Amino acid sequence: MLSALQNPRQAAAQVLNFVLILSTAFMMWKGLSVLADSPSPIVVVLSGSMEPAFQRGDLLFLWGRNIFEETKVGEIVVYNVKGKDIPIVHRVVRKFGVGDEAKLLTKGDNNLADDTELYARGQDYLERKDIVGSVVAYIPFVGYVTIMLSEHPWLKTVMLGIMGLVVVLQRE
Amino acid sequence: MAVSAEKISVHSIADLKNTSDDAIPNYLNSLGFTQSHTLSDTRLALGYSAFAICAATFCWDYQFGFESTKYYTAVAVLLYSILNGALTFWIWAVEKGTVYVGTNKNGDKIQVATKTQKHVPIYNVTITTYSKANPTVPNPISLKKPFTQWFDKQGHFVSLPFQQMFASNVSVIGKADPTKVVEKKKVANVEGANKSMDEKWASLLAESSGVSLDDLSGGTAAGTGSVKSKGRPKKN
Repeated sequence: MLSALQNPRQAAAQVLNFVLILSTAFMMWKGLSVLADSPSPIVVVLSGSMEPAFQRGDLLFLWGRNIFEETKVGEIVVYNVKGKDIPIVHRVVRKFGVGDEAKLLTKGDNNLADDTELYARGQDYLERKDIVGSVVAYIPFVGYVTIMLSEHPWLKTVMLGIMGLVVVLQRE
Repeated sequence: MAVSAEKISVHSIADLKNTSDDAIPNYLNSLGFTQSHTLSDTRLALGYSAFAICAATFCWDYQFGFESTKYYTAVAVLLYSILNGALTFWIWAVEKGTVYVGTNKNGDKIQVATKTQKHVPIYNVTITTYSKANPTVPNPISLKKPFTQWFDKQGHFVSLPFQQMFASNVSVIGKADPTKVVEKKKVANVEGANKSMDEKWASLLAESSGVSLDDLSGGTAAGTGSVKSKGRPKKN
């Protein structure tokens, strides 16, 4: 470590190792986003409103392209409510019209009422552009780690710190 | 005798290799070789430009959101994978573990690549020299030496035997540093497992006394020869 400070090239190479791990992870995420045409192609279920289909902590893979057919009733979609940045996973239960202008109504399988209550003030339905993507695959429970991390934010700092230290101190 | 103050863990192959790798440029530069950094500079340039693209993508994504920038992002992802692929290719096919490239005053070029296998404490060094007369004809020399030859029990790096290994086996280095050239060697051999215990001890002793005598007398080949122990014909 100390010798690395005396040799700028070696220091640069070691920093590069660390930086490339982070940037490769980020670019893979972005690549997946572009491919799936969805700003966030992998999401974690945070609530139990879709039980028994999805539990808290399930990891969902989203697909945002409507190449062969458009979003239809029965599909499970993730949408963002206007002005809020919390993605919600619910099922499309009504659809009026066709194309990008179609009006969609969603409801959680485990909820008694549909989502009109959840939508923003003055918003009575969803449009295609509100939808982040349709669920195409899922892995149960794996995402629980991120729930832990968001409920205990100090864990994030600890994890990042450990990862950084390990990479900087080792040259393997 | 030059012994490093820094200690490393003798059980970590990575530590052994890195310390040895770092000693090579030190030694060769001290002999008047001019180090060329083209290989590592290219690697750094590839790596950091990939990172620059990633940083830019992060910034515009953060600033303007996904939807309005997704075509730029697609291009950036493509560029990033190309650069990263080039970097991987460079490390794997061009650098091939090269730790030193240098030229001496006569114009002879030397390139040193090192390699270790997992859990095998043997240093594989390939020294390729290109003479000035024939700059396209490589003259490779491969060495396989146990790290025990230049690390002591505590994990100190001992430079003399390490430098002797290079000076004795590579003529270009030998000419630049004639005091470190040692006749075909004895050395407590890890490979020579079929020797008797006595012989091993003898060669070990010879090695250690030879090394210290080398230091005192300025290390002429005759000086080392005079303390060589039984069973080895003196050539000089």
